[in-house]
Amino acid sequence: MKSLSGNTRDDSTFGGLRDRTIKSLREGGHGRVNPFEIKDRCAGLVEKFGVLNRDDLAGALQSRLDSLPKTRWNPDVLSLLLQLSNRPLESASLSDLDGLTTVFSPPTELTWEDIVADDPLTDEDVWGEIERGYHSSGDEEAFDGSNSEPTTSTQATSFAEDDFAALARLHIVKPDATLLGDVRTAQETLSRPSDNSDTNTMSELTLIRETISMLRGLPTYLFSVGTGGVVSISSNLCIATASKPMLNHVLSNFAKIGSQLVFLRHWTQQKRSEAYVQSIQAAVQYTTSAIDLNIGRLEQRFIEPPDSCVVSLIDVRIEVEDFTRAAIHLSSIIVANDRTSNGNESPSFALLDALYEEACIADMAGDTHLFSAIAGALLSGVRTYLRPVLLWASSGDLPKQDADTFFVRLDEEDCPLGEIWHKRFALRLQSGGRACAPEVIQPFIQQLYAAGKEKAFLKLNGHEADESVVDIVSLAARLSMATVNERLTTNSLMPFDELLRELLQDCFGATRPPDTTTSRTVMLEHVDLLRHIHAFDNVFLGNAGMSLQAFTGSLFGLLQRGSSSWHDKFFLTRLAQSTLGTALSVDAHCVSVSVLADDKPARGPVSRQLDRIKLAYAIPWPVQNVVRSEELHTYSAAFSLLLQIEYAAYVLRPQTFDLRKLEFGWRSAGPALQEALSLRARLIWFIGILRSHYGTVITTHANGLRRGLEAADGIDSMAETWATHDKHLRLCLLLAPNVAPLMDAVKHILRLSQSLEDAWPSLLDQSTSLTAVTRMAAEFDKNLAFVTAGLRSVSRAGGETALEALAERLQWNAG
Amino acid sequence: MPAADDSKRKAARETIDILHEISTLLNTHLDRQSLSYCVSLIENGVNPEALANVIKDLRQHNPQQRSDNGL
Repeated sequence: MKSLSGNTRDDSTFGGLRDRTIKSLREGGHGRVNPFEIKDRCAGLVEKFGVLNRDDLAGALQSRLDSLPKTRWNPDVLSLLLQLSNRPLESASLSDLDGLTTVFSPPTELTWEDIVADDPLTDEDVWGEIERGYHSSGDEEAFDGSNSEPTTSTQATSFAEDDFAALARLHIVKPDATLLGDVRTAQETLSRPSDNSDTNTMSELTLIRETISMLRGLPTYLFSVGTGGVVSISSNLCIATASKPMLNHVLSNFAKIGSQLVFLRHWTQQKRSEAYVQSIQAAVQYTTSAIDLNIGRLEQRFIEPPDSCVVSLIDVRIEVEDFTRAAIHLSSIIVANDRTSNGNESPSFALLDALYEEACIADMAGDTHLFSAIAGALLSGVRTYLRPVLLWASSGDLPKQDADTFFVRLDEEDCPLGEIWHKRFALRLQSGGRACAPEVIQPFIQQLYAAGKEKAFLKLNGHEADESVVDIVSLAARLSMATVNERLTTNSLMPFDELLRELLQDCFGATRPPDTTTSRTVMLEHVDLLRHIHAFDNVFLGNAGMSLQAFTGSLFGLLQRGSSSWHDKFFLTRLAQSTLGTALSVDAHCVSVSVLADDKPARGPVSRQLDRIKLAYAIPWPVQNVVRSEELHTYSAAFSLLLQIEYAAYVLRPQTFDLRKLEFGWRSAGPALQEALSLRARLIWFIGILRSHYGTVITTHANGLRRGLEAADGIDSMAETWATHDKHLRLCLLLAPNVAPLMDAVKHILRLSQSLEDAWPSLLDQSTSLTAVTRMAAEFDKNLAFVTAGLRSVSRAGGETALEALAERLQWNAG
Repeated sequence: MPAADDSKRKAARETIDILHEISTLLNTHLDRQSLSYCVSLIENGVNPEALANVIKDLRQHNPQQRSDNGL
């Protein structure tokens, strides 16, 4: 008012002016200006300056408006200034602005001129020689040190070399011990032993202090830790702001929380041998560390309280229950499922399974905080557990650590190579038949087992060099909460168990890159399984007819001549290698023949002697893993049958039954001879049908086997295909035990050929009676009828169409 | 916090400086102290128009002002 009106308080008009001013201001209303209008007016003013050739003013005004800090009062202040503006175009100039700012001038420096002006250097001693050396105060007589007191700077620069304490005292800040006075008093009160009748009244802050110390795991007067880490209230207290029962209830809650935190802290310190448990311990320790941080923040609030801080035990309880909820839940899971804390022998991986189940429940319930804590512990355990699993799946090596709980075990370390795939490794099963693995891995057990076996098999086969190294650690590290949260952001509705299964599938799939060599590839391309199967067909099943004929021709000749070399296995082997070994796909050196020992005389019926000959083929060990045997029993039996059939055909050959040798014409042949010829014809017919059936069955099954093996995805499928083929072949060739009577009947018919051949010379000279021939014919008919009926019933029971067809053909011409 | 108060004071000073420069350019004849009083009054809810009228009225009563205007 003074600067505007020029009146001071002493003036008579000052009071009236003041009142009027106040009244005007009060009655002025509280309306706000329109900021857009003010902005437009300012812009218009700037434009006006520019138009009227006052660009300097326009620029200055615009720059000040732009640099004005934005506050809510700017429009109002600018409105005031605009209303008070007084012809700025004519009156204002930029030089006025210069008068507003005051230049900061630094204080004048002290110069030598000033020093000399103050104290002229006229003293003669000023320019004298300076005595060099140490000047101690004790050397100067004029100096009396008794009255002088050491200054701080003197002390700092002239301390004694051994007086570090004095130096330290200068720099150390001593804490104020009086600040802890209240705390000490409260602790003394708490530490006084009290009986039940004497209750101590404490402040709520003291109780909170004790509670926080207890939650940190520190010893306190209020709480005591008993055996097993159970926290209980040890002091009889009350507070002025709450009743005793309520206080006891609250303190009991704290004691329960404290007990579980004590258990957790103790459990994380235990030495455990299982690696995955150690990882879970680390994750739980992380959770307890987070709780310690929260307790610290809580404590900080009471140490440095903000302006309004309420000291309330209930508030503290609510906060503590909130940030310990996840840890308490973890504690209950561990107590129930960990074998060391449970007392009883928990099944392996019970802890992991329980964490998995609880994580799924927490996810379903939408409890994000609890889910994070439990899933974090679960995934840390699973990550560690997965490392040996991935090692197994990627390289076929069993882990050295925790080998007793790994789901694959070494069953027969020294098993033959031909049984490596099926017998070296086995699944470790728990009671109940479940594989010894956590629940989360169970869906992948067979896949992992086969993958590891395949790697071990390939290594033995010499196919590990081209495998790229799989980074197991980074693969396992993919299972983390970060990955889970990332997946949940893209698909928030996916349940946790499905998500985890997906992650595990990706993980396991990464152990088999697309260009990995598989056992199928090795068996089909490197081992050449199909070539060996073809070789079996050529050697055992007579596919290579000419080779078989060469072998059987030589063998039967030896047998008929009664040569002793026929049961020399070396000779027979040589014979087989030089005949059967020349067939396509056959490795001649793999063919061998052995002759079984026989108690009966060597010169028995040839058909019985043929049964003693056993043909064998040295199967490579990878193929043995498919055929599940070192020998091919079915194929050997089929070869024996084939020998019988071929021998029967051999003895019925036309040369033997050349009727031109007859001294009399065949028209005058007796009834016995005619009957014998008829029998011969029927025998030839029977052998023809058998051969046809044999060839059809073998061809059909060989094609099916080849297709099955090419379509198989691994050795297990190949072995299954082979086993099915073997079973069908045995049945169709009447080699199975349940059709042994039929085979005996067939062999009996075939042996009739030998009988007929033996009787032929006597038939020619008519010394054999019709009865003998008729008997042979009757035997033929009887066995044929038996075989036909048996084949029908077997085909009906087993559904084998080949046997049905054989029965049909035998029946056509039999009648 | 002292540092926050210093920065606040510094910001307020800068604002007053700029407003004073604008006031000079607009030839309002308000010195720095009067301007800061006016800003305080406005921040406390005084209507700018009413304040402008009061200022003009007070200037009317200034003997120096009246002699400059030839009154």
